[in-house]
Amino acid sequence: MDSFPLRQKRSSSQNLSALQARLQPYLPTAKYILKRIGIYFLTVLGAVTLAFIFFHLMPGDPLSIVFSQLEKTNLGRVTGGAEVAEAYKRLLGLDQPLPVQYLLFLRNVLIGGFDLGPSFVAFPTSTRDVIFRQLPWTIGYFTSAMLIAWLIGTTIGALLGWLRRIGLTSVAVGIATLLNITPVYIIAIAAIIFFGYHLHWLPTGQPYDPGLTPNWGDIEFIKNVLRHAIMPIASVVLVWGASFSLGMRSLMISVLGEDYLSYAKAKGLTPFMILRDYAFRNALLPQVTALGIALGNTINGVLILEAIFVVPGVGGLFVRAMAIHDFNVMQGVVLLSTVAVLTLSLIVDLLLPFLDPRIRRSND
Amino acid sequence: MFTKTNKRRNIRTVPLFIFVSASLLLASCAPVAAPTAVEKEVTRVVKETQVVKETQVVKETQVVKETQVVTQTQIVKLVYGNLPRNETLIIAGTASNDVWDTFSMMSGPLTNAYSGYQQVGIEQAFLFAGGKYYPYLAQKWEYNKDGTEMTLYLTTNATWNDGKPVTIDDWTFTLDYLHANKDKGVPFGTMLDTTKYRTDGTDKIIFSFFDAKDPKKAVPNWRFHQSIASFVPLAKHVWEGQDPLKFKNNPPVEAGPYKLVSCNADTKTCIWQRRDDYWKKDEKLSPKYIVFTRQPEPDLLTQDLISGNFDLSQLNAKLATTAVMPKNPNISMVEWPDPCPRQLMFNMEKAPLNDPAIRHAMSLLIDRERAGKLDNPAAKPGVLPWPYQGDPTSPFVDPADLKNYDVGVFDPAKAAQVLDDAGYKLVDGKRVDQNGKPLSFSIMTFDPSVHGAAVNGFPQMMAEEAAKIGVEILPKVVEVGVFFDNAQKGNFDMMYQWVCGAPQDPLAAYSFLHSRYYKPIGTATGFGQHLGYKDPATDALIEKVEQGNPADPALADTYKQLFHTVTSQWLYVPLFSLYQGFPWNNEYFTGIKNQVEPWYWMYQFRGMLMYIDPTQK
Amino acid sequence: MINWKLLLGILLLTIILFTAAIGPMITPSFFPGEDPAQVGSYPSLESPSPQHPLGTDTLGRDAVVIIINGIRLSLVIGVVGGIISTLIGVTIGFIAGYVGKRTDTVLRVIIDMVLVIPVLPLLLLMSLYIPKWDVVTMGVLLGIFGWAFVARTTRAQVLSLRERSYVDLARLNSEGTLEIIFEELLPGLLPYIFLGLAGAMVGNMLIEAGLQLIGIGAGLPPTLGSIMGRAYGAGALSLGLYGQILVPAGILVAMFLALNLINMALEERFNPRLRAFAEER
Repeated sequence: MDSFPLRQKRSSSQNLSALQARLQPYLPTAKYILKRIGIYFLTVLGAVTLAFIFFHLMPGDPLSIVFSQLEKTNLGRVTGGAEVAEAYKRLLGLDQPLPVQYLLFLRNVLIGGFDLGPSFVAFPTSTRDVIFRQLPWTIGYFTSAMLIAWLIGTTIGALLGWLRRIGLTSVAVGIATLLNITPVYIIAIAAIIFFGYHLHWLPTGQPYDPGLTPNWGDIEFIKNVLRHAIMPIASVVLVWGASFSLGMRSLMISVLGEDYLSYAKAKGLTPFMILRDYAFRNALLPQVTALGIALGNTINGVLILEAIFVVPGVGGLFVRAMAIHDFNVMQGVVLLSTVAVLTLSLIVDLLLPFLDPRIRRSND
Repeated sequence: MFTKTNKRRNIRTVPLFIFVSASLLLASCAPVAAPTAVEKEVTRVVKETQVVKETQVVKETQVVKETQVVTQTQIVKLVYGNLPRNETLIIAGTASNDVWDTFSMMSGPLTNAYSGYQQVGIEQAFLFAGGKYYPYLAQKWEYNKDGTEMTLYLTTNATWNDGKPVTIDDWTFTLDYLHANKDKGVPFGTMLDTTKYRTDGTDKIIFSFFDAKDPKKAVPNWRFHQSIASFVPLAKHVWEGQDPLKFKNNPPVEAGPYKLVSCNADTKTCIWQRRDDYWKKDEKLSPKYIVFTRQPEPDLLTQDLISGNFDLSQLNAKLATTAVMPKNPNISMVEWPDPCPRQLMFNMEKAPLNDPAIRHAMSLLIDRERAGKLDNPAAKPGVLPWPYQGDPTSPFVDPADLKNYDVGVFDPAKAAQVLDDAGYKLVDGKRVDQNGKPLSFSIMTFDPSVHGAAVNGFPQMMAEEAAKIGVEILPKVVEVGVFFDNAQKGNFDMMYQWVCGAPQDPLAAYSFLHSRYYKPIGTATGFGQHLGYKDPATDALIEKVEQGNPADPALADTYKQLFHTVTSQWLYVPLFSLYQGFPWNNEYFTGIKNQVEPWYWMYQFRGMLMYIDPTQK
Repeated sequence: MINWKLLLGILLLTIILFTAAIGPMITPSFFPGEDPAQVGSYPSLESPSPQHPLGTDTLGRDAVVIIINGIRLSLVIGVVGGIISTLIGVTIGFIAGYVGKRTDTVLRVIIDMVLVIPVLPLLLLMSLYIPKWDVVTMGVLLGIFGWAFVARTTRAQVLSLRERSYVDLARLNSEGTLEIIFEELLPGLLPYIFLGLAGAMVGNMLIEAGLQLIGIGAGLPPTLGSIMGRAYGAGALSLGLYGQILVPAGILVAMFLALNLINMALEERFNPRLRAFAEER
């Protein structure tokens, strides 16, 4: 079983053949990477199209729904209705036929730099501006929390898997299982009430003390932001860390049963070397994939948490956009999240061949 | 074979793992400091804080904060940076959107109703509160004899918060500006389609009204003052040449009594400071600062209220009385009736709902008392299509109608009787119509989180009662968007609705029944009524009221006839009068009145500001 | 040898299923002459009392009774959603992983696309146009959006299994494709499929709960999720109605735990390597 089957028959000129022979080992990887990037662009285009279809082929006129609802919730103190909806329809180009709208949409999103028109939830700020205003908070709070959770969870999971024979670990596994399934909002609310209101240790809600002037150069301000971030991040880390550690543990257990580990053992490698170089490494692979997916799907996870902690992120934005049926912002958030997952899974996939030669081989 | 590859791997594994994690971590953290949006915010706020004071004060604050905890002396608590708590009124609202940088009402419904802008930033022509008009940017109005002209007398000493005077030029600029942008759906944009104005150049604007189809034909409009009362003139030197849908008016230049200090989209908090140069000197404005912020989830709001962090917010009365008030004696509950009593509407285009007897029976099946108790505070059983204080006596209602047509009465036995009399017989336990079709209707309502539990509960209770007399009722709870979509298409049997008549002039309780708003089933466009109701006699009555003078006692008779039309045919039937509950913190400001105007409702806020007092704490 | 994990798992699951099946028949006898699950039978948000051990909900129903009824409704959502997503996911993932080549590329793109569509927002969007929710609709929707994850893990697993030495051995022994699939690959996959199914079932119930928390799924009968959501929206923790959040959450946790335990036990039994490990112990 040779890892890299030779393909010298294909080389045409002798000059090149030497170079090609040198490059030969890398060719499958390069091909794999190119293919993966091609798929990436296809998927992005598909996702953008799907998003368009979803938001434009839905029955009912989104604008008249927005306006009639707002008219009613504001208890009638709104002028117009149908006429206003018509005016905004013209403003948004929704009076064009669908194919034209689609082309304009593609142009605006892909070439116009994510231009999705005005938002309604933060009118008249554009959808792009309002999403990018909120995005750093979501990333800062929840993406970093997810990474911390992954690092901690993977480490603990690997240890739990390695030490699977020790009875005490089943207690840890039990706790992790419970944490994993506990809805994160229950942990969040419990934390707020206990640490925030009973002990007064940590501030609740808000990204920083209201009344402070945002100044990212001021160490006191950053400290304040970090204090406010402790609880949201801790609740994500608890729940997701547990989930990652459980995943890692079962991966480890299954890897530890592989034949080549017995082989390695027979070779006389120390248990630590086996853990580090064989078990951990092989278990890491699906774990990296899981991280990519979890990161990209942050938006799913933060919808509720951002509302509870009053974080000015995209999750809370989406919920409010949803409440008034702001299709532009909903579309923007969905698109952004889609592209984020795609990009992350692209990165993960590009890293895979370096982690696992089996994949490199199977894709050539 | 294994050894070779593995050896190469050995070196890379751990560093690669660390590298990947670290770079992902870095990548995720980097944008926090980078984006321009944040930086933009920084410069703006820094500029604004010059109004208050700079670093030295902030340092002092922190010292004071610490000592206060230890000594509990008379030192005033500071909130939101450096605002003295006893001079700051803190309002926690339920803003439905995220507009924290735009102070304009040009985009119709897309404004933030809880940023304080509409409460204390702007100034209207008049404030209508407690059935009275209070003069602000206008002093009074006069109609000519036949109601075809109205003269508006402007306030002459008013100033914008940038120091410039409010002049008649600002008024005429605003009228023309709004008219020029009417295709953008701005408020009052279509007013000049049926109204002409002229001025005397100093303090008088004379409006004259004409027929939209025939500009030469003068028509009376005795309700013009009702709409012009909420007119907000724009500062010409600020708005001239701006696109109404794009201009942010930030910082807001308005004539109101408070000026914006800062408004932060991250913390959802706007801070307003009382103007020293406010032009209306006799106005009582106790709080020096007013803070508008977004209220958190109920459990957290409860904790905030216990800690006295908010002076006014919106909370379930049950939660307030059982969880908050025992722990914070300063909190009291304020209630006000919702201005729009809830009604049950029928799709009269669908047989057999076109039969008044069916509608009568439906009304008799609603247990308003029991359903109302699901709400906190309890919703009161409805009778009139406008808010009233328990007693349904009104100059616009004939008491006999209330009795004869069982308005607001729950009586399932009578419902069965009504159906029997109208020929809907019981066959095998099911009531059928003349064609032998069983009676089955759906009731469309929406999620209880939006308008309370009573609204969600009554159809299910009705279904239970209806089943006993052989009628099937299907409660259909739908998402808000689906509700409006179906309502606009006439895609319902019965639906929950709200009707906002004014107690002094309840035209709005009837005008939507005019055939000019009639839309047949299935036409989704427009906001007309899809109730399937057309009647020339009712049209004539509505037109008579529309052209009449609400101050004229003779109009009461026409109103009585309209009430009779609605109740005798059960065109729609009353459900509840909802009550909203608000916890008020008496620690720093006191004197809030119960059962009066909605406190938070945009400019109505000023009605409350007129009378609350500081506690001198 | 009695496997305590299997035993405990089955016991837990049986208790829950038993409560869901028998509970609704027994509860009415505790409330003579009343319908405790009827809207407005009692005042709303009553504190816990001997009559109502968990208080009443926002619509004036007895919380214990609606929680017992809710187990069944939530199970329907979970089972429908779980089975749909597992079926679609395993099939597509398996084909992608086993056939490879072009098919894999195409399926991969599709999987990735479905995978990256954020489920919650889209469900929110769909909810605007769903005329009337019921538990089966909800389950089907969650299943339709949830299969991609299963597909992806199945594919990865098949890819990795396919390269293992015993599969190569089977190939060398010129076993047929079907034989390889059913005798060599599926047994290795089974634990993952079952774990995926268990995860999808409880996951769907939790997603439903999350949707309810942000106010979606109006008109659904009271599932465990909507009971939690309503209670949270009404400030149940401050009212002392902890049970209305903790009990439904506890039931979901117990259900997941039970499925997990059963899965672990099955894995030990059917996965030869793990069996060796278990016996070694």
